[in-house]
Amino acid sequence: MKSNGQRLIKLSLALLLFITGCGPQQNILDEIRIMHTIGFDYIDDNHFRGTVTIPIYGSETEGETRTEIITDTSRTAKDIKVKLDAQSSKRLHNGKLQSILFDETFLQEGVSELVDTFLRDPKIGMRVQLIGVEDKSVLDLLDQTYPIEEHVARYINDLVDQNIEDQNIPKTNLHIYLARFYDEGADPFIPVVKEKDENLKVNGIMTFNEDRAVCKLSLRESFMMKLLLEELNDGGAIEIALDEDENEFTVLRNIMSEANYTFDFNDPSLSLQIDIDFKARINEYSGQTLSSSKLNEITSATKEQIENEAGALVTQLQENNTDPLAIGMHARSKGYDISNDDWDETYKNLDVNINADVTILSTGIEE
Amino acid sequence: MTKSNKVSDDLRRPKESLSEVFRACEKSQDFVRHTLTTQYEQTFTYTFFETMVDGQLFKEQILPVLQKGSFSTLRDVKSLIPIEDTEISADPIEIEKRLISGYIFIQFEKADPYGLLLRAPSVERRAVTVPEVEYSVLGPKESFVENLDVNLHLLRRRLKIAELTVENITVGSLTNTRVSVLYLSHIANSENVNTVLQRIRDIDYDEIIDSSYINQMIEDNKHSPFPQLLDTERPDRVASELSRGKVAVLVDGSPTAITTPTRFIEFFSAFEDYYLSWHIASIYRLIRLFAVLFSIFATSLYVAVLTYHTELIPMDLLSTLVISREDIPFPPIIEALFLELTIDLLREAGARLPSKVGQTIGIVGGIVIGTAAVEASLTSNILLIVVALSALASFATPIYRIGNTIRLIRFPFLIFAQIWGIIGITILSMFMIIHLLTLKSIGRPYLEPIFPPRSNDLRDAFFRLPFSLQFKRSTYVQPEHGKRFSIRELLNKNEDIDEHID
Repeated sequence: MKSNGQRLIKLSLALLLFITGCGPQQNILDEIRIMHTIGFDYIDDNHFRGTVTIPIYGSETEGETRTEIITDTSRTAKDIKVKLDAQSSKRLHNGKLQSILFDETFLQEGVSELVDTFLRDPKIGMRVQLIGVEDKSVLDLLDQTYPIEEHVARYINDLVDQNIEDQNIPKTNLHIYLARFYDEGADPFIPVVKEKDENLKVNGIMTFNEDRAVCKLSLRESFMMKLLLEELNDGGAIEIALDEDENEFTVLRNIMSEANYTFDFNDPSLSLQIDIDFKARINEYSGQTLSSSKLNEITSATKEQIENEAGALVTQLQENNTDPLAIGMHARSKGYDISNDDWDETYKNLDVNINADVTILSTGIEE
Repeated sequence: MTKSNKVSDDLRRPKESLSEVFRACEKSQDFVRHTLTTQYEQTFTYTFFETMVDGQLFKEQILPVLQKGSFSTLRDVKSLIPIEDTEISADPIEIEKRLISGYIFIQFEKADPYGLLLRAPSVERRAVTVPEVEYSVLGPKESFVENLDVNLHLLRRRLKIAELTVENITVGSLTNTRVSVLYLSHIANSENVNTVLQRIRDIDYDEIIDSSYINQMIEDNKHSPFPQLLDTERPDRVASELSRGKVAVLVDGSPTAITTPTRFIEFFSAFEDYYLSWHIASIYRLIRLFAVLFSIFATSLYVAVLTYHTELIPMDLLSTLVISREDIPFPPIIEALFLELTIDLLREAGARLPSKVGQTIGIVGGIVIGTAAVEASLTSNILLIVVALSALASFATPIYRIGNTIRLIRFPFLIFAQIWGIIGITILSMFMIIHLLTLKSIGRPYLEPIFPPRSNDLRDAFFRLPFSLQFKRSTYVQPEHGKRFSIRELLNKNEDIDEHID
């Protein structure tokens, strides 16, 4: 028993020697400033402006909690932290960073240099959201209060999360961005927000080629991409126009869908068949009654519109040489070699055929 | 090792003659030594300690016989006196021992080297009362008392078989305490029994005041904060442990029994678990285990997260935490130590004070100190909730001893949380688990059924499965007979009531 105890003590002392270097830096909660959002504006080739939002928590004496911003210009991404810290009374802490914003020019010029600094920091979570800002500088967007939510950082983050979770934006975050960025057979995409009256609005997604945004997709196109990318399980909504002159339309909800990718490798130019299995419930119908013939009409209209719009989307992506659908990854997973240089060319000329299999599950309660 | 080798025996030299015994006794004023002359001109010298002897018995049953009779030998006296336990002895050691434990010594002449010993002790016994430490709403309301014979009676009444064996050992060179080791001879593993007997015989100490002395002296690892023997004041619990093949130790003068071998998990099972239906009992056990984990880790996690791991705090909790800590001048560790010590101080003060004053302490501590500390910005109110909850959780353990352990090991966790954050908590947890793995209870694994993993013993560990599934005794006890009842009979019993009616 005694020798056991002694061995334990010796072992623990030895272990203590090994882990002295592991002692983390103290970040006592009330002695740091927690950055919630960081945003970057493009100035010129060598300069950019960095902006962070930090919450100033009010106590009984200091009044309400408010959001403050700190901003400065810099040449490199490493330098900006120093310059921002120079303006802060407490050390800036990036462990709770939730979203990273870029203005439109930045997205077009390439973001990988900046994203790289976040990638290397273990304190940054992989669920951080990269977001594009349309029509406005990031500084202006952050330096503003919005009536719908008190804190701008929270607002932007929840807005994007909500749209990914329940609405039309396909799922993305820093992790997905990086995985697609480093993969030859896929390209990243990020959601875009813009100002709408007094509030903000998610206005579709930007898809990338390498680290440059090349193609902007609307909300409707984003949803088509979501259909092609993800397995929907009771989410999203789509409006189907039946007769535009008569203003006759229907809204389908609770969509369950799954897309299947089948390649035909015998075809010299490679052809791709995408089958969308689409099930939904009718949520809204502008006409009088839903007869079974009407139901057939809705089914075929839905099929037609999904096929057309998804087809147009794929063509648009091919033309811009961006592959957010990860068609390259699908091809590779089926055994096709995409590592050669002419994959880009193959992708551009890929013959994509989309087939939607639409089922209407229920038509709701009728009188 | 034989008894004569013990150091403490040499301190008291055994007396060689009867007069030496009387000389030692006469220094006490409760020692009575009188000579009585009867109507037949016969003299008797009677000797006893008046504080140990039943005076009424002496006056009513012994004195009249002596006064009326005419005796030629002590054997005549012995045959006439209506007391069963009598003995004629000339052994000074024996006579001393008997005098002390309430015998009356009768001689014809003062100088006689021999005399008659009559057993007439006065027994002060507390009534058997309701258990206070391990109270249960359901089930028997008897608890052990200080009198060993009463305690043995309580157990014999519950296990009415001849195989319930009681072995007595006297330990303590000054207290001469009677220690009884109980076991069911046909079920208990003889190795377990012999280990316990051997360890108790090897005890070399002058005073054995309570069973907790024995407990600490026969533990396998005496330096561990974890108790390795279970102590209980409930005779029903001891009876049940005995019937599973365990060994129980009862000590004269102590209202708690020790049972062994014991697993770690048993310290979190209240005996009431067996009186409730199995699902309810299982949930309560899980709640208790959760409470223990919470109690150990809650405060240290608070310190670790607030000091190092800000990114672990959910967004919605962030502002609450920051605001509650904003005006506090101390780092989280000082704040936490301050509150933990306050709570332990309150507990200690409450335990030492009479119950009426104890209530006042509760009010002063809970309401006045708690709220005032928050108002004065000495601690954050969130930490106050965490500390109070973890203190409460540590009291949810049914066995008092393990509750103390849990309160103690919170402090090293706090310090490690301050030094290395969650890494520190992980390191210390690993050490604790390794320590628990090495522990044994009289040679049987302490952490069973987790390690060594034994599925049979899981039936009554984290969960208490229904009695119909408890057909085997736990293997860690290594009982001589593992089977509790026949499963086939049970299956037959489950037939429908109208099965054989056509």
